[in-house]
Amino acid sequence: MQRERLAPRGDWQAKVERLGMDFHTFGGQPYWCEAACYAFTPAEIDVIEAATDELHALCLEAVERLINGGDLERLAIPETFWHWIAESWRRHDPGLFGRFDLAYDGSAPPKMLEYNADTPTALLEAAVIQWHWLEEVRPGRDQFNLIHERLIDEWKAVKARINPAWRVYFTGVLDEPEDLGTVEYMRDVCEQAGLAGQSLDIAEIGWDGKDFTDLAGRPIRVLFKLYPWEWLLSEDFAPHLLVGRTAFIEAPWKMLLSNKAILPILWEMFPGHPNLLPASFRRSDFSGPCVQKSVHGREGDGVCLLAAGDAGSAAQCIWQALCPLPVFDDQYAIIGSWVVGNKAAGIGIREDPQPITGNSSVFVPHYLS
Amino acid sequence: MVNLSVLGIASAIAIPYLPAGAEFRRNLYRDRESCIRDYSADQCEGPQNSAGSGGGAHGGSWRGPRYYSDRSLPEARSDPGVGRFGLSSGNETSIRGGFGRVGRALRAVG
Repeated sequence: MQRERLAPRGDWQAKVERLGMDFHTFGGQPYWCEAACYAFTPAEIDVIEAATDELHALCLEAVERLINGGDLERLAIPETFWHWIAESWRRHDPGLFGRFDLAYDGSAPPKMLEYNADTPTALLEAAVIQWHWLEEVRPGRDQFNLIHERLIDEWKAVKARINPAWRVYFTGVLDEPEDLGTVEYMRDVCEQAGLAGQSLDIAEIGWDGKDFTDLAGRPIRVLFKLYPWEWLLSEDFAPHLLVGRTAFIEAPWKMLLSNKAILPILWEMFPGHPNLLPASFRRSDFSGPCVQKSVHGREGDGVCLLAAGDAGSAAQCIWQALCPLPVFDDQYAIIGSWVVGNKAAGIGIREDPQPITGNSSVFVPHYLS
Repeated sequence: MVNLSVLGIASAIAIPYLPAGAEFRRNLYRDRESCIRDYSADQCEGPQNSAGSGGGAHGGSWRGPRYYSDRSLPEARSDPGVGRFGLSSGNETSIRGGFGRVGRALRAVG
């Protein structure tokens, strides 16, 4: 795993915009960064792929145990929704995709930092933008990236399970360019799978007493949402989730995996696993420095590094062993390893001069050397 | 090969203003003619089939366009209204704005 510096394409902004990425720059700084790239050996990719498949399998096992145990209190999920979540798991409601955040330096086993299993972002750049970059900048080389093709396959699987005449709705906070880009990309792959798609903002969803509805009052039978479950569960329409007929993608059971409480639960179930970090519901289990994570934190929010002796906060947090990200050219690099249809499907890399990856961390492409 | 068919229109989506908790109505009609007399042909929607879902108690009805239940709202001035002649056989109501509060609030401070 090596970082290479290179000159960005002169018209890179126009090129990525043509592919649907108009959120390439934040605050005057590029978010899509092609002033550098990462080169991986095939053996290193094999390690990442195997670890991702293994971690996803562990996660499914953990969901099974949590559902069978019937107690989701440690995940700070209201009890009202426990049975409804369990039913979604037992029905095998579809979980299309997710993204593990891994710490990996090319030598030691990849370590799971968290699993963005509900509303993973950085999708368009991982699936499409970096692939086109590869074809232009590293022609003839390969990339660990089957995300696009696998997503189409997964939507075809969804199509086989529903009335194919049903329209699939896509929602999120659509006046946010990044969310809109992700939602529209997902709608595009859905339509390439042969389903009809329609986007609407999360606030435009209606309730007619029986069904969630679109702006025309039509019932929404299938809804892809780029909007976290824990937010939906706290809002005015939440009680309707229990009685409505809408099938959600991601499925309700995925909220068990996007919750940071899954980290100590995995460690309890699989202590010492080489791809897991020690994690606990008690700060006192770590004598030295560690990382505190809010169970519902997102994009680095609610993550803080605690020094030895720092008690941190107790409110809806978990603690994880400190595993510093590898540093290349003064940049902390994190690997986003995608799961599509229960299989590892590709990676994207984010960089930041700070040790915690956040919303402003840049996306850097990769190739196989 | 990546084929992107719809991404080009992504930035063209407009998000209409929807007050949180706004209640809407749609008039129901026994036949298309009654609906057209109250509104116009392109504002009337035929009975919903099972694929489009819906159905239920009003599955066989024609529907007029959506309008604000509270006619005193400023937004109601520009909606299609309650119908010219009041020929409807009933109406159905829906509420919007019940999702999105947390996302909007976090975006506002973020």
